[in-house]
Amino acid sequence: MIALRGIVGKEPTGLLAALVLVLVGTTLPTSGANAQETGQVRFRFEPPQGVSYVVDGKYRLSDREITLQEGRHNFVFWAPERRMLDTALFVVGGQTQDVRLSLRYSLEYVEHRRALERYEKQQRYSVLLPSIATFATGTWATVSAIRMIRHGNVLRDLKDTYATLSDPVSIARLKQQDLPEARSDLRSARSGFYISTGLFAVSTATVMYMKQRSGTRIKPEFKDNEGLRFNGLVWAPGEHGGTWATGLTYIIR
Amino acid sequence: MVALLSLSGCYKDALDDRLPTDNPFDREYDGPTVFVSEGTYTQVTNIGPVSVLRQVIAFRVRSELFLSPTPYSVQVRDLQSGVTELLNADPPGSDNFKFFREPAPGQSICLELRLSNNQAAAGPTTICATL
Repeated sequence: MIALRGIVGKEPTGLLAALVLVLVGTTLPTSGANAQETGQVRFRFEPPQGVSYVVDGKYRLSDREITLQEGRHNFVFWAPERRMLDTALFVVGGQTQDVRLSLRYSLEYVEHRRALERYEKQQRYSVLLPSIATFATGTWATVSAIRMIRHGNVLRDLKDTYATLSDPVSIARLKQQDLPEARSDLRSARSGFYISTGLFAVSTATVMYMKQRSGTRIKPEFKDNEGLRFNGLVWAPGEHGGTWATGLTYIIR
Repeated sequence: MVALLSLSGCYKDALDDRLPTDNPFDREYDGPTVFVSEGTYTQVTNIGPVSVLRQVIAFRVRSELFLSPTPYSVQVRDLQSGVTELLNADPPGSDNFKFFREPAPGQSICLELRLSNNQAAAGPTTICATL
């Protein structure tokens, strides 16, 4: 078994310079003896799913096991979001070789992931934090309002009590002690209410602004250019040789 | 949000620094006068075999000014003699009061009147009468 991890991936134009590997447990034939003999190659990919490859520039396959004539064969491996790996394998007749391949993420995908993380972070902080602040200040404003109403009711009750009192001493105590205290409490509660309501209004406006702003922010989309290049590699065999088939994908929204 | 904002204007009047002064039992009462003089006259009272001539200074309490119905007395101080008395309504249950003293013809008699409850008195009002 041989692992191709670490083999430098190359652009399709560099196929001729592909690295030729001799598989473990086999010997490179010194001559073209027994040229009709076939050998098998069994792939183990990373990622395990979605890997396709083009063999000798002709056939696009995704099988995990293939049978090829003995000799050197060119392979271009690719999987979504990964870089193409352009290499060559020497197939030994009458044997099955295990090949382990790890396709690295493409630079475009890595950049896309970074952009996506930045986008999600911006979305999260630009909406989530003001939303939490709005909830907190809204709760504070509600509690302050309840507190203010409660102190207002106490003050109103004291004023009602004043009207029912006929004891001059009790009236004096009510006016000199109870009413001023109740007024002070109500003033304090009203100040808290004003502050909390103001902050609530500001944070609500911030959330609305941030939401509007985040709505105009475009979510990064991944364009798998490696996939486009890979799709353009397929060679269609014909009677007099063959032709290269190239493709262009344009996403219409 | 709207509900919270609508609350912001509330309690403006409640926080007015002025204290109420419209209860006649308040020492700082500054409403309409509570006591109305009903004049003065002499009255002969028989105490056993003895007849006594006394000057009566009658006055009335405007109980309609009370913020709530309540029993009460009136504390009277004769400003000439310095005598202080606690009077009940005469007849009982009415708002009429009578203060008795030695007759003083031609002399202006002034009384300092206060509503009273629970052995405490409200602000003073002075009425005068001449026999």
